[in-house]
Amino acid sequence: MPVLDGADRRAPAPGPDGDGARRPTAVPVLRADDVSIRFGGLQALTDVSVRVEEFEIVGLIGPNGAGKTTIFNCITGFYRPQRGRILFKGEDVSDLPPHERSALGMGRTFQNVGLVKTETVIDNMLTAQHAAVEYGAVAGTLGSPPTFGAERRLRRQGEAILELLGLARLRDDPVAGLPYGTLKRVEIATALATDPDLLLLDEPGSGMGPEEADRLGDELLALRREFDLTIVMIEHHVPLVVRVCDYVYVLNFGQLLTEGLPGEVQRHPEVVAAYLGDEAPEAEEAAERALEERGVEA
Amino acid sequence: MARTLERPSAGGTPSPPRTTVSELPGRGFQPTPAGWAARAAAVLAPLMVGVWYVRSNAPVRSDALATAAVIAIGALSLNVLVGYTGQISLGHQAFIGIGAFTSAYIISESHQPFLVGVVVALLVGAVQAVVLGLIALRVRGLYFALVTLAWGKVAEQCLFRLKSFTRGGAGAEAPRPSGFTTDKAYLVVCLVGLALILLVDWRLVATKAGRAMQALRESPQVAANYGVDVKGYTLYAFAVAGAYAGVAGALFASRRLTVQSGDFDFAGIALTYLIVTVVGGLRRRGGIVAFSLLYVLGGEYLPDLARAIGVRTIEVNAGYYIQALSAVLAILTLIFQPDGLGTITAPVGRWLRGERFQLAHGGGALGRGGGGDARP
Repeated sequence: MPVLDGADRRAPAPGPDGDGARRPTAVPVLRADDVSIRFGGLQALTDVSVRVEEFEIVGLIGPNGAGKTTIFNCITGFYRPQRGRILFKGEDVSDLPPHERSALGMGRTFQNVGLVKTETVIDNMLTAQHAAVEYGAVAGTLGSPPTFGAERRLRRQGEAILELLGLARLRDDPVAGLPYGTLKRVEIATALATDPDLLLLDEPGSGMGPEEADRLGDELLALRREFDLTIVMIEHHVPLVVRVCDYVYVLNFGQLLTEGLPGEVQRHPEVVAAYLGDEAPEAEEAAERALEERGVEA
Repeated sequence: MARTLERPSAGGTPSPPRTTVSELPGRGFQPTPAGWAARAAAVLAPLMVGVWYVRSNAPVRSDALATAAVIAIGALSLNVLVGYTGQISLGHQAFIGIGAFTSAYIISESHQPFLVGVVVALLVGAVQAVVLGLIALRVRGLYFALVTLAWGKVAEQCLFRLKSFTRGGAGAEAPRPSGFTTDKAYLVVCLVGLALILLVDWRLVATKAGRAMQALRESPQVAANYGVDVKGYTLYAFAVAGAYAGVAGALFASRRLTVQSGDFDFAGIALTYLIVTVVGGLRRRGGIVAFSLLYVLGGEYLPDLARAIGVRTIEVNAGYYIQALSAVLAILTLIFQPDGLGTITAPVGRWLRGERFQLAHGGGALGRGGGGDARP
C-alpha cells in the first residue's frame, strides 16, 4: 500500500537528445508482444507490441476505433488475443482470467465507469479490496471472530484512500446519482483499493474541462509517487498526455502508428494526419504550451 | 491524520479544505438514555410476549408459526440467488424437497439423530444447487430460468418418485428429535434454525463473499476487475442458497412428520417462496421474515375474516385468500416499492442499532437498486 516517504520514483529520464530512446530494463512491468485479435470479420488489433517500464506514465492515443480499449481488454484478460502474449512483471499472464490478473496487481478503470452503482462509495472500496482480504469466504460467512477485525481494517484502508483523493465526504453516498466527473475519480479510488502496481486508466479525463484535466494531471503525478505506480492511460486530451506522460504509443486502425516521447509524437506528420485531423493547429498549440509548462516545472 | 496529496506544482493554488472521515456528519448521533430505553423495550417486549406464549396455552397454533419459520428460511435461500447475486430459481421445490427427503432418509432409514439429518440435508442441498450453478455459468437470463423450472419438474416428477429414496406415495417418515415432539417444542427448533440462518446471512453480506455476489449482480466485468472470481462466487452463491434450502427442507419434513412427493410442487413451494421473497423485499432479510409470518397468519385468519365481513361468493380452500392477496402484493411491490416490506423493517433495524429513525436512507450495504443511472 502507499509508501508515504515522499521519494520521487519517477521513471528514468529518457534519452538526453530526445531521440525517443528509453533505457529498457530487463523486466518491464508490462509487455504486450505482437498482440492480434479479430472479431468475426473485423481485425481489431494487428501485431501490437507495447512495453511499459516501472514508474512510467505511458500514454495510449489514437482516433476512435483505433483499438485502444481493445488492447486494454487484452492486457487485463477480458479478451483473449488470438496471437501474441501479455507479460506482467516478467510473468506470462496470457492464460489468466481477469480476476487473477487483478490480484497480481493490475488495476483498471473503464471508459464508461466500472462501479457497482447500487452500492455506496465505501462499499465499492471494500469490494475492490477483495483480493487483499485475509480471511476465506467460508470463514467470513460463518462469522469467524477474526473476520470482524479484518473488516474494520478494510474499512479504514478504504477510508484512507478516499481521504487521500479528497473523496471522504462521499463515503456513504450511493454511487448512482453522483456526477460523471466525480464517478471517474471514485473509480480511480476503487482501482487504487485493489492495490495495483500497474494502473490502466481508460480516458480518465473524459468529461472534464481543461482546468479539471490539468488538476487530474497533477494528481496522477502525485499518485504515482504515493502509491509507487506505473500508469498506462488512454486519453484524448493531448495537453494532458503531453504534460504527464513519459512515453506515448499511437494506435490507428488496430496497428501501432508510432511511438516515442510525447513532444515528438505529437509533431509526427502521420499522427497529425490520423489523429488530430483538422484540429491540428489548435491542438498542437495547446500541446506546445503544455510542453513548455512541463519544462518550467522540471 | 488527514493526509492531503501534495501538489507537485510548487506555489500552485492552495488545495481546498478536505473533509476527513472523522468529521463526517451522522457519526455524532447518539440516542438519549430514554432513546436507548425505548430501543431496549422494543426488543424486550416481543421477547417477553414470546416467553409468555411458550409458557401459556395461548390459542395460537405453534405449527403455523413453525411453518412461517420454514418459509422464511426457504425465502432467504431464494434471496441469496435472486436478491444478492441476481440469479433466478423457479425450481425451489427441488431445493426444499431434496433437503426434506434427505433428512427423512437419514433419520428413519439410517437411524441417525435429527441433527445429523439437518446437516446432511444442508450439504446435499448445497451440492445439488452447485450442479445447477454449473449450468448457470453457461446459460443465462431467461434460458437459465427455464433450466431451473425444468429442474424443479424433474425433481417433482422423477426424483421424488424414487421409491428407494422417498418411499413413493406412502411417504417418508421424518420423526422429530426426542424431547421436541410437541408442536410448541418443535417451534423452538425451527426458530433456532431460523436464527442461525439469519446470523449466517448477516455475516455473508457483511464480508467478502456477500460483496462479491452483489458486485456480480451488477456487472461480472466490474466484479472481475475488483479481483472477484466470477465463476467461483456464482457457484458459492448457489451453494449457500442450497444449504439454506436444505435446512428449510429438513425442518419442513419433521414438521409434517411424513413427506410425500406431492408436497413439493411448483405452485405450493417455488412460486410461494418467490412471492414471499419479493413482497418481503429483495435483500431485506427483516422484511422477508416479517412477510413469512404475515403470510402464514393470513392463511390462518383471512378466511374467518372474509366470512365475518360477509364474503361468501367464493368457495375456496383455506390458503386461497392469502395466495391471491400476496400475488397482488407482489405485482404492486415490483412496480411501486422494490424494497417490499423492507421499506418498513430496514429503518426499524437501523433505529434499533442506535441511529435516527428515518424512512429514506442514503445507502447502506444493501442500497436499493434501480436508482438513477449515472452513465453519460
